[in-house]
Amino acid sequence: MAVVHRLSRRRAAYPTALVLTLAAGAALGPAAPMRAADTPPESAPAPASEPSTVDLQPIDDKSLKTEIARRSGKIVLVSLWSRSCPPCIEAYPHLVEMARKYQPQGLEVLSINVIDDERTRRDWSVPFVRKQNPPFPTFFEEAEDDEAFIRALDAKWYGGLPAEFLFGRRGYRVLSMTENVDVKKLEGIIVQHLEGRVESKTDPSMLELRAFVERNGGSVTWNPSTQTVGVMLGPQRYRLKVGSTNVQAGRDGVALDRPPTVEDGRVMVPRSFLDSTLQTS
Amino acid sequence: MTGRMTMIRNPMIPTLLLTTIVAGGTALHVTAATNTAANAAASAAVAAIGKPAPEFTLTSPQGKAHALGKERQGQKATVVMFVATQCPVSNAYNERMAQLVKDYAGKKVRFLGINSNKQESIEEVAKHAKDNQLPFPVLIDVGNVVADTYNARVTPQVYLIDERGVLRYMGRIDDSQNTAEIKKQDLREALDALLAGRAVPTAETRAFGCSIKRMEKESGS
Repeated sequence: MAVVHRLSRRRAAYPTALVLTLAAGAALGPAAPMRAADTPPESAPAPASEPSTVDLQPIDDKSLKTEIARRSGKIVLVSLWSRSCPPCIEAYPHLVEMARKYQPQGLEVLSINVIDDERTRRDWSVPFVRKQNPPFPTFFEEAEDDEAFIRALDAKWYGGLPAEFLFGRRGYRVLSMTENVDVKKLEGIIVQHLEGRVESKTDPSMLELRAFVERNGGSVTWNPSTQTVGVMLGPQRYRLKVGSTNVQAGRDGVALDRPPTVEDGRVMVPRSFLDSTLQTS
Repeated sequence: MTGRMTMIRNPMIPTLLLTTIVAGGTALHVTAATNTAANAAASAAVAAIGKPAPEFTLTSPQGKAHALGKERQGQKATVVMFVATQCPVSNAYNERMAQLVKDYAGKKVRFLGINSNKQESIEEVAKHAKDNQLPFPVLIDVGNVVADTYNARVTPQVYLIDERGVLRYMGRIDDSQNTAEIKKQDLREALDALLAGRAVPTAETRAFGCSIKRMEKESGS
């Protein structure tokens, strides 16, 4: 069975070792500057001043879905890294910084270590994480098949690192940044999602409807056959149709400056609709 | 096994490939430029299992042109491997790739390496192949044109082409960077099947690797 298989594959020596390492090194200094990646970080000696935020849990394609679902209502960044990925290691301190900055606004980060074998994890990756002292949990990919894990994140992704995936408040994926990963650019997109104001790639005057509605506690439904979107926001109900400027608002009608469009499967509406109509509701 | 992997913390950003070519002499310059144009023209075709593998002509660091069509001649199988010099995952496979070449010697299998990473210079590719004694040519894919045609996204990523020039397998070499953890030798299984005239068991696989660093383009990420 799957579980037995997994146990035999990686777990044999490794959890014990990790637990020991954790116990021995409960000492987390403040985030230290990164050192040359080919020198293993020195084992942290130390006064256990604060509790460890380093979770060392295995994760597979199924539990990944659970972890994301558990964070419903938050914007979730799934960040993959490995010791075998120099740009990931370089980006890591920036992710830590970003997480600290945006956690209060509703960002959750799931950091997932992949590729590294037991020994590398024990001798290098775990001490590295401990040094960086991230405010988010770290997982170790332990899917029975890496491929299943890769496809679970994005069916179009081939497994190249670095890789950052962003999930919206209801757990749907809103971004895959798998080539030319740029932390600054990623931060900009995260901020847009946190604020519920996600701009169209081609036309900044159009914003994503769902991100805004969910940011404000509402929900949207999509009817593909009629190309209509239903919006529930507080006591208000709206119905919009792609390509039409007419919006049904409760029993009234509202006219849009421009009709809603669909971009990458997401409905975009004029900024003015969010600012005036929805904002005041 | 993984112990010998080296990490490059500050990948020295080598001189741009194009600059290198220009500086490297007219002959190489012309060849590479011509190849790029030819490959771009051929790139209307896209690699797909069961379809003819798109043709390409690429140049080795020594300036020798290699055309897929010619390389395939007389071979029962051709393996095209996208590799890197700076990617620790790709480097973890150097010995395995060399072993493959050894194990399939005399079985009419041609192995070709391709480096499409924009930040890895021709000199670096040449030195890397020499230092690691790679027993196959590593060709330079200027502007990642062939990587685009084959939709190669990571290193290492391999493509297996049969004697008729049809793509039969694409994906990983095996299922673990760590040799102790390998459970499935996907490339070997595909090769053995092909050589035995059987159907390739799994035609497409994926694995973690390093993203191929491409030339900047309009990209939606």
